[in-house]
Amino acid sequence: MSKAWPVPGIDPAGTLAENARKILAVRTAEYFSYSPIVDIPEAVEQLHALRIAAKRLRYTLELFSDVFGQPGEALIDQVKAVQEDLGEIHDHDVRLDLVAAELNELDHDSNAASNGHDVADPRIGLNALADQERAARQQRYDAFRARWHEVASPMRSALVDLSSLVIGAAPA
Amino acid sequence: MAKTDDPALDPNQSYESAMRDLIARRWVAVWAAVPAAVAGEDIEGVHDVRVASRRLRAAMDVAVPCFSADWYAPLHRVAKEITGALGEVRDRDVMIESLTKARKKAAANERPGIDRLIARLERDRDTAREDMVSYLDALMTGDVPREVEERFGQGAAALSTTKDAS
Repeated sequence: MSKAWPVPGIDPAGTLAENARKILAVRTAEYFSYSPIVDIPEAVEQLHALRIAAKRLRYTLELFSDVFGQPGEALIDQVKAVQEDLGEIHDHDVRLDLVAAELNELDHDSNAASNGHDVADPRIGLNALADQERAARQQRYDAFRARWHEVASPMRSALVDLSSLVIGAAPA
Repeated sequence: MAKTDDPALDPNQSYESAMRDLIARRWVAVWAAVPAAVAGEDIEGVHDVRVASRRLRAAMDVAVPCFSADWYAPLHRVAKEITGALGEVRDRDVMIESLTKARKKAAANERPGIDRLIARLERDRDTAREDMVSYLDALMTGDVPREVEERFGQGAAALSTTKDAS
């Protein structure tokens, strides 16, 4: 798992609001650092890392909800939607790996593949499952990519605004 | 997981006092979720502990500068361990659930392959579950709940309640 970006300059004696905004600024930068890989469907590991970055960003907004107010709540829902898309994509990738490993094992174990005439070759189901997973993964990736391009720019602006509010000013 | 009804924090209070309060609340959420994970009647029980422990980690990760390392690091490490200790079970629960749904829609000649995968995952999950329950039992009966209470105050305590419930 990719490590969280460190947050420099946290001041324990400073206010909750000052420090929450510093943390949000770093989590926002970390999240959007993955923008270049959004259009690369085969970037399996980086898409998973983006999912983790989304989770960190969401938890930051939740943790400091008393600082970020209603604008933060609205952003939580947007980040959560992206996170769920990426979670589904990751689950498809994991299942595809699992099926591939099972097929590989069957190829090296002829007894397991033909364990009686009345039972279908398990490779039939595994290959069908792999086809379904690939199709579903593509569908979910397309939905994720469309969502990202729709919300990324306004989301980034809103996050930057929240993380750079003048100290003491309440969010709208 | 349901949103918490925690009392609001003052954005102008000191970061250290706010983090001490937030971390206490998040330990309580972990303690509250553990019994259902150990009981194993609903796969969401494990998920809820994972979510609670991730939220705890999110708070502890950004509070490191507030506390001395020898005071803080051991519990910070435990918070990370909890998430990891439940991951193997959760990952397999999710996959078994998904494959079971796929099996219902599959043609008869496709089911042996899916059954083979489900059987493998169930074996792995059962082994992982034994490890997870051992870990959580040791966690709840060991020193950690007392240390959490000592460091973060009575607001972080749920030891007696949790022990009664497990």
